[in-house]
Amino acid sequence: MPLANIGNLIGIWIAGLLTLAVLSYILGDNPVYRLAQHLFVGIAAGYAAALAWNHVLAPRLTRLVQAPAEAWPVALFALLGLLLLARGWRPLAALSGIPLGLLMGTGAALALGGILTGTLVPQLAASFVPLAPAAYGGGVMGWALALDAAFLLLCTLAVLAAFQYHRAARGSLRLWYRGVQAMGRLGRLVMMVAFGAILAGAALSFFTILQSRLAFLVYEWLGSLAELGL
Amino acid sequence: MIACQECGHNNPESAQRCESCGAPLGPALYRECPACGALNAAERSTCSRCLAPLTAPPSGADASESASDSSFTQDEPTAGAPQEDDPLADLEGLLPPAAVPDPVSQPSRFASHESSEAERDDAALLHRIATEPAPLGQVRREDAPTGRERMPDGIRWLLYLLVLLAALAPLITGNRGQQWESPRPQTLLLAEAVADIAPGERVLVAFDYAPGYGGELDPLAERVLTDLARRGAVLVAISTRPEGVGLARQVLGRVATFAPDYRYGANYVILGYLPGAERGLRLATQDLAAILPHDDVLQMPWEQLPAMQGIGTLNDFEATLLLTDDGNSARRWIEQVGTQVDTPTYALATARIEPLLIPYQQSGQLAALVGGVYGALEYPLEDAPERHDLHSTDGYLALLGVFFLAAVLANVVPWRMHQN
Amino acid sequence: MRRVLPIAVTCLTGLVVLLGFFGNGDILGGWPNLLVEGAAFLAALALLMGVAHLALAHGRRAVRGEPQAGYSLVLVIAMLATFGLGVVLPGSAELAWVFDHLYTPLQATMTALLAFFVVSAAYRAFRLRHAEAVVLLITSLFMLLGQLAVSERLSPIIPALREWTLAIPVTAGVRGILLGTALGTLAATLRILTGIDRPQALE
Repeated sequence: MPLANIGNLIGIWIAGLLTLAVLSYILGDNPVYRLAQHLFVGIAAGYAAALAWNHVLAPRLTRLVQAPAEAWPVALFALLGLLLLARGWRPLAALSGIPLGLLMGTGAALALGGILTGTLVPQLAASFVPLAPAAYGGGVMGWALALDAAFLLLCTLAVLAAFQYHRAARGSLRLWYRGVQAMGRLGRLVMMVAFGAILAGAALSFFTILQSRLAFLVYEWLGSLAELGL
Repeated sequence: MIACQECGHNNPESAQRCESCGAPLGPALYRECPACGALNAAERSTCSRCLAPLTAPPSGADASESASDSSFTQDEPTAGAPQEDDPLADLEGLLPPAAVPDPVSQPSRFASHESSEAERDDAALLHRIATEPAPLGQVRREDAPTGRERMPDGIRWLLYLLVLLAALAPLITGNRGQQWESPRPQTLLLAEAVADIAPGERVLVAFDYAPGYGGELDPLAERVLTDLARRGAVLVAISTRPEGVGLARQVLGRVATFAPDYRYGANYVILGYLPGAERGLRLATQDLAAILPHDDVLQMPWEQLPAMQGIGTLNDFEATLLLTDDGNSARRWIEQVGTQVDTPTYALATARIEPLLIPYQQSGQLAALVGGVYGALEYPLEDAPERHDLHSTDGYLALLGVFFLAAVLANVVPWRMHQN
Repeated sequence: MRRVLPIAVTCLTGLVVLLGFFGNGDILGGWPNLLVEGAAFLAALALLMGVAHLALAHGRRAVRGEPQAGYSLVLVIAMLATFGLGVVLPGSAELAWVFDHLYTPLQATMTALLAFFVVSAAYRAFRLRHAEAVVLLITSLFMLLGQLAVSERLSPIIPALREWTLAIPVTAGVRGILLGTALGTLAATLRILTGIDRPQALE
């Protein structure tokens, strides 16, 4: 048997045992599960760190060593990185605000720009659809689609109303508040429909993954026994 | 006594882990970011990877307060700004806590509707299912008794057993359940778009899902990518998560065996890991080499690879295929990349987050949105790669039965049995 | 100094990046991209620092022989081995072996466990105490049914109704939530960028 195949076979066996170890959690927490859990956290953290090193830090530091004049910004980043490391050391603690401010500032600015151009404006634009049946070709179908569009708009507004909260209103605005409150109640029902869809989706996702793990155990793990002639 | 921070159970002083739910009792060494799953030192208040706030562990003494998900209970359901103390906080949950129906911290807020503790637990539970990314370090018991009401043990074991049997059902029945007779419009849309890709055209593939969801997304990804590869398209993989790089290698390695003479460097490339979430994506739309200098497999400047000639930014691809299991990272792609490039984005999502992306598909920001569960069965591909785990319709039928039974039992079992 | 510096840096970088985002990019030259690259570099470094901290904390536990020391030892060894392999042999078959046979099955099975817990969560959500629970129950059972091929055989209305549910109420529900969140984020990020709010991390 070639070496690669042996490696693969060993891998399948270990994967099978680890799968069983994690599945044992259904019966309750146990040392075997905890071992698998710690193994996983270690591998995941080590893998992420290696990738961060290989793809982000190493190429830049190499460039800095090879061509310091061109790669001067990397030196600056590295300096900021050192300040981040020095966060616990008093004399430099104040300066650690610079890298943190850089992280915050870029994150907030990009989040602001992204949410404005990528979510708020397009989603608002998509909410305001024509409500006239003629816009949908008229006839029974036109009416049906126009009704759908109106219902979509009503439901969206209702969900937004569900976010609003106010105390018992008095005076001239009482009727308005009551209207908003009623819309909010409808909004919560609409959200429950969305949650129902999400719950069903989550159940399907997790169940599919469970199926695939069991298929692995049956076909590949036990199947490898047949390969060994057992 | 030490009260568990997760479930409120009182444990003896010597206990290292909660006797009830298994959560660690001592001061936490590290915390998992609720948004991106990164591991952070316990004393950090924001995630080192994505800057999302790491919710402070609730004080052990106040067990009843800390019973439900702390990030959930602290939030105010006003104006959709659930965590006003941090700017990036509410970005990180596509479904903000405010969306959960029952006002939690102040039950009397809606005079007409006072929620019980159990209802709040349910809402918290649903919220968690809907918003939490796959657990990285530990799986919490979703059914840990968090309020006065809990599931009778007998019913829990019955339901667990039935779920297991349902998952094994296809092995017993041979999966004779028929597939969809008419694929969904979105699946057909994707298939048509793939058919329109000409040989040599380059498609960016974002492997933005965890290997944990591979069981659902791999079969769909494999079909669509095999289709593209057989049509001669050049596939270029990238990920905003480190583990996405390993996945890309796994999936593209298999795809290369299904398409004739499909080689690394000439026909497909794995670029690697884009750091810094929004930041990495933003820079990639401006200058790809500035953020990702090397490819992953050969560790060389990717501009030298034949497949990458003429590529400078993410705008130079014909289309983007976004494989995702996380509403937040999908939203980042749409916001940071979708707004900057003129080419279409097609999302292949897990069934769990598919509903969260529907508004983007309806608004045209996603050219198509296909779910992993049905997509793999429906996507038309001749001579498709065989898989044992191709999603089984018999299993789903059995699962529906289990859910139906749960719904009946939940309302038939006497109320008394649910009290602790 | 301690208080002003981070806020000043936040505001300044935020402003430059924002101008780069909305401007046509000529005014500020390469500065916005440079700042973003720097932040991405720092983010990756922070990830490494987090992992190092995890290794130190567990290493300390293992050395001191505290309870759970064995688990911590496994964690540290697994982490160092994977990291070493990833750094010395990037993109290698060995690293792929670890990813395929250890990382993937472990994480996939942990996710698979949620299949059990989602059912018990549903059991509790399905208690019909008020109108909202009824809506939730009906929708989720219907969406599960709509997933099945057999539903099309039962009635052609089921797939049509499923598509309608996704297109109208689900879209409206999620869109409303998206808009609400977006408005909140907008306000919060503006407060950060104008220095009104001091994020916790800068304290």
